[in-house]
Order: sequence, then structure tokens, then C-alpha cells
Amino acid sequence: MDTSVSIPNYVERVKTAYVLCEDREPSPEEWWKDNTIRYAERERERAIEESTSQASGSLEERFNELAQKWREETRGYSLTAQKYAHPAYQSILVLGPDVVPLILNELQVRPGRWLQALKALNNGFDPSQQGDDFDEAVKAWINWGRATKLIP
Amino acid sequence: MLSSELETSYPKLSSDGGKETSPKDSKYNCIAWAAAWDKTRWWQPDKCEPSMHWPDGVLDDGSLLCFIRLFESLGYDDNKDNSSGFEMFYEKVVIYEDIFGQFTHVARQKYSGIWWSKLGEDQDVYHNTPEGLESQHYGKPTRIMKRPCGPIGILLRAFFKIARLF
Repeated sequence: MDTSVSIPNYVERVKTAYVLCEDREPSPEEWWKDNTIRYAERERERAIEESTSQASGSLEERFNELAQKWREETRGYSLTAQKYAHPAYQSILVLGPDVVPLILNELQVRPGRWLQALKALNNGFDPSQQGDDFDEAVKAWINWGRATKLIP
Repeated sequence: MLSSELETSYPKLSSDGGKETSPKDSKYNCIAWAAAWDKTRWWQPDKCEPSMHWPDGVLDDGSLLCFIRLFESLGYDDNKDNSSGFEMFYEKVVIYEDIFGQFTHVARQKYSGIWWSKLGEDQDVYHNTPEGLESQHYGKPTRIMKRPCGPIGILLRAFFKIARLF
């Protein structure tokens, strides 16, 4: 990934690419949206790359740092798709199945929207049942964690 | 009083009479609260978790339109003048959009005319106007929808409106 591109150059490059691809001048609104999406995507990739390469400290420290960042920065989000797009959440997924016990511990202390992460890190396995409410789903995951001795 | 976290996330909330009215709760979101005063389920069109809810037969593609369709299915209609002011014979909800035209939040108007929002996994808050929650993530309130109140709703609205004067 080219990280040496300054933002003004990047903006100009996107604008030029847009004109070349579309063979027309974008409306200010189109251009703004397109540029902002590309910039956000680039920043997101960079954040994930940084957070996984700067693996200082233990896995638990790393997880706690990312979980706190995710909690604080997405606390008001109304849809989980928006929460899951956050770089800190993506970085937690990149840490792999070793973080499952840490997520289960976090669920016990602060029940939050971790259920999709647990499912993704367990190859689609989900111990909760259709029709379970949120508390029941959290309980099902915690019981599963205890049964598999991932948490005490 | 507002927590410093809320003051930071919603810079206009404090000056708009923002007030926390519940503890944090991950079980339900703004859509559940605005649509049905539902404190037990997280309403979301893709229902990506078994505990999530979205009414059958309502568009569920995640677009802004599907949230509009949801409130239309509950009897709300576009408010032609897009006024967020109190109307004795109508109850209102307001939808927020970000700069991409994506849905970000919905709030509903209380009987007394002030607005009531559930903030993601955070608290419920009161705010005097929809603009009180303008913020980087929520963007702006862009669409007011309203539906007629029943007789009991009108009586309650009159009562709370008068009570608020005292």
C-alpha cells in the first residue's frame, strides 16, 4: 500500500481517475461522495494494517485496547453493520480465534454486540437459538464458553 | 446532566436541553424505541442475529428507503412541511442521514413535544429539537414523518403539554 501519498495529491489523483473512468466531469456531490468513500476505505485499511503490525504487549492488552476503542467510537451507532465496519472491530477479527475467551470475558462484564464476532471466529457456529432474546443469546455463548473450558 | 462522553459525541445536545433518561442498554436501539417503544429487541433490517427484529413484509435492503417504509407500515407519512414542531393531533418521528444519504438514527416526539432518542447501545436521552443530536456520525435530521394520534393520544398530549408549562 502506498502510504507516501499526501492527502491533496490523493484527492487530485482520485479526481483525475474519476474523470478518466467516467469520461465526464462528476457533479460536485458525486465527486465529494466518491472521494470521501475512497479516502475512508484507504484510512480503514491503513488502520487495520497498523493495529495488527504494532503487536506490542500481550494478546489480552491488545484486545482490551481495541475493544475499548471500538466501544467508545461506535457507542451511539444504530446499526451493527456500521459498528462492524470500524477498524478496531476488524482488527479484533484479524487477531483470530485466540481472542474468543477474551470476548466471552468481555461479554460477562459488559454485554455488547459481540455475537457476530464470536460466530465469525467460530466458523459460523452459534449456540443461541432462533427466537432467543439478547440476554438469552449472551447466556448461550457464556454457557458454551464454560462447557468448552474457554472461560472459568 | 449529561456525561462528558455524550457531550463530546453530540456537541449540540447540552445546549438543546439534553438529559439522560435511562442506563446504557445493548438490547434495543433507536429504531425499536421510535417504532414501538420496544426495550427488548434490536430492530435491524438484516436481522443478522437471531434476537434481532424486523417486521415481516417490510423492505429490508438496508437503504434509507427501508426505514421510511418501516414507519409508513406503522401509519406514518411524510410531513409535507417537514416541521418538527409540536402538533396536538399528530405524533412524529425524525430520521437522520449522513452525508452519503444513509440512515443513521431515528428519534420520536414525546407527548409533551420534546424528542426522545435511544443512542445506539448507550442511554435514552431527551432533547428539545431534532437538531440537538446533529453530530459527525448521525449527520443531520432530514425527514420528519407523522401519523394521527388516537383520542387517548390527543388527551395525553394535551395533559403533558399543559403539565410541562408548570
